[in-house]
Amino acid sequence: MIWLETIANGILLGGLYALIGLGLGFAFGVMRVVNVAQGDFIVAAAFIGLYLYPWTPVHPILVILPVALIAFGIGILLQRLLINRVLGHDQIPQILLTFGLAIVLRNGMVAWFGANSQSINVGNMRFWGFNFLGMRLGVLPVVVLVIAIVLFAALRFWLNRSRMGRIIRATADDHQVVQLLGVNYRNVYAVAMGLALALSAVAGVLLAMRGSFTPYSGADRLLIAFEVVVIGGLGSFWGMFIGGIVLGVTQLLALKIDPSAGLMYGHIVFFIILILSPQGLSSLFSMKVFRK
Amino acid sequence: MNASRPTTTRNLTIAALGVVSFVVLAAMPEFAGQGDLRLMIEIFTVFAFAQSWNFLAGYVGLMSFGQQLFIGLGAYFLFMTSNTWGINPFFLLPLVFVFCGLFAALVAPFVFRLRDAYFAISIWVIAEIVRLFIAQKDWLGSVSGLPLVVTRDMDRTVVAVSTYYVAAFLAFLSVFGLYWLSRQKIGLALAAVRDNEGTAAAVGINVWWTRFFGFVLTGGFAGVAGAVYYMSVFHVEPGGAFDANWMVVMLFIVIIGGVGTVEGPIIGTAIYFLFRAWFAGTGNLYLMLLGAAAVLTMLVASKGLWGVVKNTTGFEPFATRRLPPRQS
Amino acid sequence: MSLLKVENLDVFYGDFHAVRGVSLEVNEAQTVAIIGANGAGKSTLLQAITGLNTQKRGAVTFEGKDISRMRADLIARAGVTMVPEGRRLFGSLSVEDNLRVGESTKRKGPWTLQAVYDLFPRLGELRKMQSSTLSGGQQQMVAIGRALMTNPRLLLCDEISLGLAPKIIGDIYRCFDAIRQSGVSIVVIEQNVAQACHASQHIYCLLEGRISLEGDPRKLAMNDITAAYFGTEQHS
Repeated sequence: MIWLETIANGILLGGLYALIGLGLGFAFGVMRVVNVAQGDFIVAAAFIGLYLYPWTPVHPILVILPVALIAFGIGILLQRLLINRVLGHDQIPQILLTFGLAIVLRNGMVAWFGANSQSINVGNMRFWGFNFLGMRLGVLPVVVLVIAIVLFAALRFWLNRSRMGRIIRATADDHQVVQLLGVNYRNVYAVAMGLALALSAVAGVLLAMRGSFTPYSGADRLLIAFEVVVIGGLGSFWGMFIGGIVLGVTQLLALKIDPSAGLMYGHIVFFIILILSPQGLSSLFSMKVFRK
Repeated sequence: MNASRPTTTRNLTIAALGVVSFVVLAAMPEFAGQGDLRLMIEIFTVFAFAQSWNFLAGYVGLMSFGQQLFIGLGAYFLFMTSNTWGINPFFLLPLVFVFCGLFAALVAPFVFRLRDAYFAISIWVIAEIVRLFIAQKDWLGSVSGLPLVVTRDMDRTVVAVSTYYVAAFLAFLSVFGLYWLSRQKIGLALAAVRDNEGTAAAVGINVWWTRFFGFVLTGGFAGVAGAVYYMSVFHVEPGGAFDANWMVVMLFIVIIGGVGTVEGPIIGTAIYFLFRAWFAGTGNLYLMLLGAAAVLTMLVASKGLWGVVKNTTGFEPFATRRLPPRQS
Repeated sequence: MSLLKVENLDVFYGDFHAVRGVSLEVNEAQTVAIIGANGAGKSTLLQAITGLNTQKRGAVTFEGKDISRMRADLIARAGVTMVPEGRRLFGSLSVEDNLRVGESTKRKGPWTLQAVYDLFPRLGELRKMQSSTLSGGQQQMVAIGRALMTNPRLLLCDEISLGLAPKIIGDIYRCFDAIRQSGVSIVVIEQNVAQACHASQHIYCLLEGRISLEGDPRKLAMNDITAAYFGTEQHS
């Protein structure tokens, strides 16, 4: 039973991991840009959440809304002011630019907030639990998973049904041709980066509610995001969700067996999947959103 | 202009530069104190790290965010073998090259399935796996690390001077070896693969093996440099050896100096150590400056400082282009 | 009056000087054909007019305004669009979604989804299909329909008959009359000289980046056209 409970908790955690990967995967799907600073933006969002939640009405968990909005704005600025300037066939400038940004952001946060471990306090909700099929599950992790699923589904729906979503998908397919139809792809990229950061920011805040973080957590967050996207098959939508769950379950099972392992077994499982199936798990599923 | 100078003259220039650097490097310990030697060892090994990354990114066209993997791997392999069998670590350096090269060869088939940033981060993941693994194993010293036992009983000056020579040799190789390599057939194949995979394949170059060669070579070289670096500090621990901040340093040096040039990282290394001397007390501010400088370079001069120098003066002693025969 | 006027245009494709001092004119509701061998610079010329290629010198005037320095999406909003070579549909989008991306210019005009479906009734039946699953001819219809959805004044068509069956090429060219009657001028790039002469009121022949011949196709001798196309005789 304890194992089943661990797996169930792994799935709950995995939903959140999937959300961490979604921002990175979405940006990659649309722009072929990999924002290496994503992990540090996630941590920055957690810090913003940390400062805003005492003023959040109704319930602290609603702090994800203002944080997402701020992250959206930052994403648009990031794309417009920096990344759009180095777009081109060569991906190296974008990657190096965001890497430089990650260093600035990380060390800036250390200088500003100190290196101490922090957490966003959601009050009593943290301790609530319920019994389900004989397992003891926390309310907060379930809420977090539900938020993750809702965001995945909402993004999917919005991309398929809205005018902007259609333009984003078209731009992902061919950013040259959309210009012939009157679309400024740089604006589309800015919106996409805004969305990517907003999604990541929500993940960052939720992660800070479930556990703790330091200004140095960005590297681990980025690695998780990256593994989710690769396991999911580079841009496949629900593949990423599966990827997150695989990592979440692995991590919790590993912690049960070997408490000092940290993310090591997650990394190893990622590597094994890479060896077994280079296209990621999505080769098992046919649902591909962005792939040409 | 450089382009009109016949190739033989340039070869002579390079040879002269080579001899002069060799003499200066060789004579250095005669004039330098112990502390200076330590600093020189650090500068040379860090320069070698940077060139290994530069070679991978700028010549092979593979960007990695996990070059610290080989630094740590080389250091740990050297410490373990030397401590276990009581062998003089200097004799083990060729073995370090083989070990790290083999490790690179083993992971290459898997990480080569990923491209660009995903390739870059996958190496980082491997570095993390190795770091976490070492940190857990007592026989590898776990988190607190390993000392280098054998050199303790040796004459300190001899060890320092010998380490210096090895480090200087690595720096020498990082310049002249890289230049030499880039002028060989394999160097041309690498350049072709880096610039356009499709065209390279079309003219009969085996893209995969060419990349593989570059990746293995750079892995082995960074491993040796890492081993030498940690030999000079006599202690290695996983947090430091596999620290992602190594990447920050390498990236800074190469980006500021200029990716894909022999000369750029020399300037980059000089600037890095000056920066460090000036801002060492400021802690995170100094790292922030490194990052900001990298961002700025990407925005205003993506070819780095050396690119700026080259464009304004036309001076390019280590040009890897083959010059066409002079027309008159 | 002329709708589009290109004067002394030089365009580079990378390091290659692909278009050299080209001048041409397109009048209202006219079909102009540009012919020429592979590599003559036809596609590069159109890319420069639409703003996709920015390495250019010279003047491009559309409706009296200089558009040579304008961004590609703004040129499209001004009323110039292109059916790109190889169709280049948005493969992951449905037929209807492909067409609706064309609404992005926000230009008002006769071309709506319904008007496109009236022009190509087959597309109406396929509207829910993913565009990458269509046949070549159907894809070409989507590409033309998508361009029409921007309600252009000037429609550039790059090699629209390439790789299509003769019957389908005929169907597509027959639609041009309807398109022109809606007030759209058309420029077609064709490798098939006969087809180009038949469909247009004016042809330009490009040879190695320069215009080697122009005029009313009905008044030009076939020999002259062939010579200008291949660059024999006067260029030897």
